[in-house]
Amino acid sequence: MKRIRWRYMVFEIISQEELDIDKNALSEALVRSIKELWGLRGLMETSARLVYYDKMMKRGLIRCKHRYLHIVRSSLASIRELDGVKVIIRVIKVTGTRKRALELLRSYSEVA
Amino acid sequence: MQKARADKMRRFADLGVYVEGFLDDIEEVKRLIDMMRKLGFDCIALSVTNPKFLHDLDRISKRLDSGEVNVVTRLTIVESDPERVKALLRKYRGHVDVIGVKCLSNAVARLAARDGRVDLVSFNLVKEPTFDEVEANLIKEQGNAFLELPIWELFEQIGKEHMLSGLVLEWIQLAREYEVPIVTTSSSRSLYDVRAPRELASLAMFFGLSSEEALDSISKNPLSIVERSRVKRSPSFVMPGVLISGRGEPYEEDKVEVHGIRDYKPRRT
Repeated sequence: MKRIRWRYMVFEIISQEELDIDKNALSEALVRSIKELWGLRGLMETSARLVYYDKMMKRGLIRCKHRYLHIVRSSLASIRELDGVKVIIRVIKVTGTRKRALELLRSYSEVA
Repeated sequence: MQKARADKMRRFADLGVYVEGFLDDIEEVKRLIDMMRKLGFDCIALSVTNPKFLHDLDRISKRLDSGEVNVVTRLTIVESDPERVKALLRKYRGHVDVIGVKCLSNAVARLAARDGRVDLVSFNLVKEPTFDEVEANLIKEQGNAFLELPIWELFEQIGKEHMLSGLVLEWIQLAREYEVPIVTTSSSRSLYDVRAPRELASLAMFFGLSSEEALDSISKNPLSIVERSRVKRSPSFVMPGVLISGRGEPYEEDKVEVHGIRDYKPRRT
């Protein structure tokens, strides 16, 4: 059986106003967006999961299958509002390992 | 490996950022440009649909154009009368970098397809006309327009009627068949509508473009329009294929009278 290759997407949320959203709500918004755009099949194929979200920094980490990166990317891009606040979700970096992605997130929070 | 490097070297452009709503607030326009630079764009077309804003637009774009990001201007003509479209093209072609035509009637669609002054043609999903074989063939044979995919506009229309998404897939098939290049624009109307280039490309992939086509539609294709327009608007441009490459000293002829072919001495170069 072929090994699944995962990709880890480090993202940040740029919001118009103060955004108070937790990991679960964000995860729900992501799933809703994938379903709306690509359907249940898209959701199944990507196996996307919000691994980590820092509410203070508004940065997080999503894991998905490497072949379906564009599905998650487009679904993130199509989210225009969260909790009634206008947002831009920007993918900062895509890595091949969780360790590297977490390192990146840590480095961003140190800079901030 | 080489492909990955080339992808990283890509320069990105969004030729559809509508600023009519906040053109009087230069700080907001500045914030928008800063945001787009942060997201990774190298070229932005500040766009209007009403020509009366062109003067302000030109002033703002010149002021905000920096070495880091290239700010160009765009006029989108939204008309159903071809004569009016012709008049607007005649009047404003020399004033803006990019001209787009949103086709509201078949006559306008045909005119836009064959007129060399039009850079981008876009269609409405809900109403006629649509991008068809005749249109694609006209662009291929006579015009040099690109098919525009205004992402948010298409999403808004699809939101009202889901079956319409199939129509965009048909457009893209036709564009491929007739080799009509595609340009993806965000068609954003506010600061929080803009998206990073690769996110925009992934949204274009939702409409059926391949990964390479989607990236070309936000980098190579729009930049070629801007380049073409810059050449045409430069003072050295005379007509397609003729450019003034430089100006030398006026040539002074020797005061030698030529009576016959024997007196003729060829000019030394």
